[in-house]
Amino acid sequence: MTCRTSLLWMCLLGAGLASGAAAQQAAEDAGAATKPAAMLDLRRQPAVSGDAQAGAGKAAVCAACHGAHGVAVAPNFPNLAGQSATYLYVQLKSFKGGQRSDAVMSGQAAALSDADMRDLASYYAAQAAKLPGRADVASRGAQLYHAGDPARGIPPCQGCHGPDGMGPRPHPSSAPQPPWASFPRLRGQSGQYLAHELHDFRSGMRAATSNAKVMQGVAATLDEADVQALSAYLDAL
Amino acid sequence: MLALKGNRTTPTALALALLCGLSGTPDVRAGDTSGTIRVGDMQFGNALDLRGWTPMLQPADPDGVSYLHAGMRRTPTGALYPYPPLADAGKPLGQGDWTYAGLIELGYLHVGGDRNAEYFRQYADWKSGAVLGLFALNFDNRKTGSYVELRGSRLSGDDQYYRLRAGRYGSYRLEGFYRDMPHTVSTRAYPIWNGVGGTDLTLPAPLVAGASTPAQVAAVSAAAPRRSLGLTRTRAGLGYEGVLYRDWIGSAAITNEKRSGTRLWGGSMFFNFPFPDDGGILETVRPIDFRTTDINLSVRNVGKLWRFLATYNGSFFRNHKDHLNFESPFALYNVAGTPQMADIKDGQFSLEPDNDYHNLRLDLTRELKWNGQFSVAGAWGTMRQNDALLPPTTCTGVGGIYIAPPADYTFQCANWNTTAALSQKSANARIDTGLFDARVTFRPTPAFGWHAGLRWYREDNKTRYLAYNPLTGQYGYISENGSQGSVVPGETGIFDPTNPLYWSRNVTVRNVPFGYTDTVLELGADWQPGRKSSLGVTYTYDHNRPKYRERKRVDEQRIKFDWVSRDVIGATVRLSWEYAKRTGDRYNYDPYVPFFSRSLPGFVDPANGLPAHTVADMRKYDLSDRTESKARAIITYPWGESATLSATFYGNRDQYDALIGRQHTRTTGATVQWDWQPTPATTVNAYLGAETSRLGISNVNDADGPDNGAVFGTPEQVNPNLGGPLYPFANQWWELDRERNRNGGFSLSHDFGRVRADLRYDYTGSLGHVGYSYATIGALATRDPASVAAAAAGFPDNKYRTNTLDLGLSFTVSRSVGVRLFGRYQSGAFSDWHYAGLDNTLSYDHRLYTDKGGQLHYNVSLVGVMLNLKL
Amino acid sequence: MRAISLLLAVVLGAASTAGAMLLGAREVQAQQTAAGSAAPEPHATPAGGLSQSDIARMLPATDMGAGAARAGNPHPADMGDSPATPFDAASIPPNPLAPQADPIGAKSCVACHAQENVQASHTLHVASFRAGAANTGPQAACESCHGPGSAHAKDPAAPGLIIGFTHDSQTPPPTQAGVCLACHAGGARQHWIGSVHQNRGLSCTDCHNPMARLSPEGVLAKSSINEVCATCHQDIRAKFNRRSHMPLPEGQMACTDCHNPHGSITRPLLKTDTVNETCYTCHAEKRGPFLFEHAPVRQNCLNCHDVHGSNQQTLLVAPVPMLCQQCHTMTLHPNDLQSAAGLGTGPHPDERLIGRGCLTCHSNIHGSNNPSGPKFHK
Repeated sequence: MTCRTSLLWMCLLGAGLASGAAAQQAAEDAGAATKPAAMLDLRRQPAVSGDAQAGAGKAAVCAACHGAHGVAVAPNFPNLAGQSATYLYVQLKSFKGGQRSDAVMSGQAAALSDADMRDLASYYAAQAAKLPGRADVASRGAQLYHAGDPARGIPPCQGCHGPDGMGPRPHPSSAPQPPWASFPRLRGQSGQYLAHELHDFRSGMRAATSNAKVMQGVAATLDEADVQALSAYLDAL
Repeated sequence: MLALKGNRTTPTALALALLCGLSGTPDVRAGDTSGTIRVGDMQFGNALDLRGWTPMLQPADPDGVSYLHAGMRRTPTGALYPYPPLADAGKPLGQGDWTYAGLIELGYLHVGGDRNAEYFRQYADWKSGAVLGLFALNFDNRKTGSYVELRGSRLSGDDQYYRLRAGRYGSYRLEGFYRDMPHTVSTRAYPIWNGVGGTDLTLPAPLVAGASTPAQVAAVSAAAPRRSLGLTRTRAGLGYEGVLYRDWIGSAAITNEKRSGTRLWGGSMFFNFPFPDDGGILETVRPIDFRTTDINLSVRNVGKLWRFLATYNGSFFRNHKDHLNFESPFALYNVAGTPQMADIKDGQFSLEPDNDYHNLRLDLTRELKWNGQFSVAGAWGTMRQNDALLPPTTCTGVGGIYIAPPADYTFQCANWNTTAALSQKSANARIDTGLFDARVTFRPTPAFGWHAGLRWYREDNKTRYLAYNPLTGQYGYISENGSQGSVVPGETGIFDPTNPLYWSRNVTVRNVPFGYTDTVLELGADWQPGRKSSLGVTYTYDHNRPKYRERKRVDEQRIKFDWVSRDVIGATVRLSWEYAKRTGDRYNYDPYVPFFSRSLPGFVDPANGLPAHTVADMRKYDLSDRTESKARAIITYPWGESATLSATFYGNRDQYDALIGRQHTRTTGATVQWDWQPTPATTVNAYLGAETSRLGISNVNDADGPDNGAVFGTPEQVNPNLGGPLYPFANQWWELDRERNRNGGFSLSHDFGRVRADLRYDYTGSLGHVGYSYATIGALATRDPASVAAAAAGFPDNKYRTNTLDLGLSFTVSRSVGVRLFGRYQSGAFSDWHYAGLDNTLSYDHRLYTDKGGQLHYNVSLVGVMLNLKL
Repeated sequence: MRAISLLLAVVLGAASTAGAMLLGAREVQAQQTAAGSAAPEPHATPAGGLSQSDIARMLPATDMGAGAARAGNPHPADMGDSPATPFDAASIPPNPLAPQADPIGAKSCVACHAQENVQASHTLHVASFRAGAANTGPQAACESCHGPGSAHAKDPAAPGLIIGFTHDSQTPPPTQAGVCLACHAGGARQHWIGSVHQNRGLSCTDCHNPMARLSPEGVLAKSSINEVCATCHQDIRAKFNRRSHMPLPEGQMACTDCHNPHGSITRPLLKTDTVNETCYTCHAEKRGPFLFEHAPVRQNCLNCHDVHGSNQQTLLVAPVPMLCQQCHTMTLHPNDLQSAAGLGTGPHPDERLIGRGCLTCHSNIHGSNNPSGPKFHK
């Protein structure tokens, strides 16, 4: 390379870096005002495990809303008993990271460390789930859950949430797999809570994780009647 | 209008009418494109951007292709699909359903270093200056599926392309393109002539044609300015493909190519090696000024059971500079008889004649029971050429040698330098081809299938020419512009049954209309022992009947085994091994007797007999008995979730059953490649390859010198056998070409967010060694002590090596503006013994060369800055 | 100059076509809305140019519960004025691994596969499908390739319940290829069955990927044709980097300029009848026929040239004069062993060795059209 060439190279590089830096600064200034939560990519989320015993010790404050053994005290709070540990862990992380926001939970999760979250999640996962009820298998909710509604573009929920609402049944495969462990069990979940979450998915309030993006697409196909039917069915399941 | 002015035979009107008629048809059924039916123009790119659209592929979509799973899936074989680019929805165009998206990348390029390096410029016209990296504009109508796409790039006036496509999905597509492609042949050419690039090469001032000394020529050559030789291909085309009616889909395309420039050429005024200060060997420069017009038409009907396809290809080649005249500076004198200077100084070449080609092919396929398919194809083709022939020579005055009466070996140029001297005024050359191909495939069960095929192809050469001069009643031609007959008495190339001086001359008097008929039968079967593996075997019998060649029948039997498994520890492995054996009927070492004057009435066998045409034990390698085996393995291993390891191993072994001629060839090689794409922002690739090949031949020098047998010119010269007096074992020699190729490289691309960096390194290296051995020095071309000593040293190695390093930084200034800085550093080394010594002088006695060859070492650097604007 | 006038013709022609389409689009729209108001279907608008008999000939548009409807009623409802378009005529391929599955429509697929939909919507394949099937009720766009989706929707983890085209799907490659060929049969793919790629168990998706715009053209699996072929044929691609080669590494040529990877009637998968005809398409000057032919040239260009790349000049397989001396053992000057003594630096420089060797005199080696050219000197 001749001197002239290297000099030209240097000048251009310098000019480029300078303009790049200036642009970056401008962008930062513009974006400093509102900073939405970074998306939480759950596609590689492995199953989590933690110390359930330790979790029991840390769950004292949670019992106020979620009940002593994970069955909620009021219908607007979700049941945590028997829920997937990975799902619970991810939700706690979301509350802490801002992907989900709730008046109470955001503050509660902010105080938790990663190990705390794992332990709590394992504790609640180990709790006995709410006893199964008798749901109407002929209801609209059951139909939506098991077969969806192709005419309206509603996929069957059982695909990801299991044929009995107890979570997905993954098959061994060498293909890139969804993070099955992070999909929640829906059986016996509070209907009011489910309806609230489906509304949040549909409106985009809860859309900052890769899983939430999937649910956003699904919830967009549901109208109000469908939401109520599904929630009622799963509550009674 | 369509640049076919000189072209009266092209059915331009027909093509245009077809295009006009087709453009108004309504869409009825899904028409799909089949750009892969005709040859050429499938790739539009240049050295700046190999793909032709790389800026459109950046940046990658950070969300990947799914929210449900990370990474990318793999092809069924196991290779990873790359991360897709961020989808561009486009901006609305006005109020309707049209959207548009576009990109323009332009900037400035600076080339420094050895910018004239031949291998750097081989197919790219690198120039310092403004460049258009990419101009892409797409219009889409989501509702109707109509689209208009424009893409173009320009490196320089000789290296650019533009393409416009418009159409409607499922209905029709219109395409037009224009492109220039450069090809540099030499950047170190020193031709001495005036008029380079034209059809007449004349000598510059101090040199006089036919009367200059080698010293004078050497001086002019040393002072000649350096030139670059090369050519540019300019292609433009128009095409249409769409639904004609119901299930009928048609396509029509017309393409015009202009190829213009110069290439290295030659010029012969007889040998210099046996006759010092005599003869003339000139490396001239020929013009290239071609126009080729291609017309491709096709129509197809795809039904449930039957599929029909008819294609017509027409190609019309016109050479606008179809001859080359050159002046030779060297003086010729005779080697026997009274010393006299020959009046031979002008040479002429007939360059390629205009030709027309038509080919019509019909393919028909039908589905059968048992998952079967039967297909039959028939094609008829013809290649024709009827150019006006040039006279046999351009000399004026008297050629040949006058020894003493009656040994008058002179000829009057006036009898041979007009078209009156020809037996026919135009070539009237024609080759007709016919093809018939039928095949049937069945898969009765998912685990077993078999197929059979039959192919018949004939090439029938109808060209007939008899070299007869009606002015003199003589047969033959004037060899090497009259020089041969002016150096060696009687070797003018004439046969004259009435003249004792010429009635024993065995010269070519007829053309050999080579052709052949080839029949191939194929049988094969395959089994699936498991769900993911298959084993196949194919037997092929190739029965070839060449015409007017050394053998009338050449048969080759081939068996091929292949094994595919899509799960060998997760990898896909494809193996194949084939073995072929070629045999034939009796080998006739001289089937050309009917084409020589010895077959004409009035031929008198010379006293010592005619020397053997060639050694009888030689086997031409396209007809000889041969065994061949080839093996190949392609392995693709999915390594983890984001990497792929792939490798190929291959080898060929050919053994020719010939004492003289090609003996064997052998190739062995392997490649390995690693690809890794952990995130949409990062791609890494590394590869290595190695290959060695060998080619061995054997030949035998005839005993034509006083010091290696001295049989030529004696009665024993008629014996064609190896080991005989004319071709003694002592003169046998062997030559082996060994080549070793290595290549490797590494590339990395990472997107930091605001900046994307890419780095690429490539290495290609080859080493070639030509070695020879000989029974005795009788095999050598020259046998004086200095030559023998030099011969013993052997040829130096041939080398070719390039190292290329590419670095790029792309900055995102705003959402629609980007800046790209890039640089390339390339260094190369080249050495070929063909050019040994040419750096010092291009002139060796009566030999004059033009091309010094590629640079021995070169370093080039390229720096560029491009501005990227999203439209 | 001629090239410029042709270019002008091209640009004018294309510009007028584009203009006509843009102008005509408004007319077509008007036509569609007018027809739409008259049609019985509330959410349907007909595409222009279909006649009643055309529609009657085509398969009916996919409709939900089609499986059950067909099972129960072999005579589905008449289409009437319903505007089925060519893309709706695309049938839904049966999945041998899920024979009981029913189609569920693209909307259900997109509900879960939202990002796939974003990527796929911008590919040539899906975009053209959507444009073609734009307005006729439930769309089969996804299921025209992936087969009926009800079984997969209920149990997506189980492989094989939907036709998959990637490495880990249970669908065998011949089934995958069969799906694509249902629409794309014929033309360049007429000889796929029995071709070497089909025989080696390749599926269409080894080279193509219609789900994402990885290449702006050709719906390829990598960003360009040459990269696709080089995935497996690495050694051939490496050969192109040698001293003499055709401009494939410079981005001006693709493997498919000469080869048809979908299968052809020649062994090396060429697009023409023979090797030579492929070469003559671009190198038309070598076609001749010449007055005096050179036998190996007429028989097969590969006798002397290595078409993918060579270490010798002009793609030759061996250095001159060794190349010629494989066959030319004739009496006198062809059969002498040229040694280092004949080099330009040697004691006895020989015209048969230096520079272009034999070709300096026998320049018209591909054939001569000169009456004095039997030995290709002229």
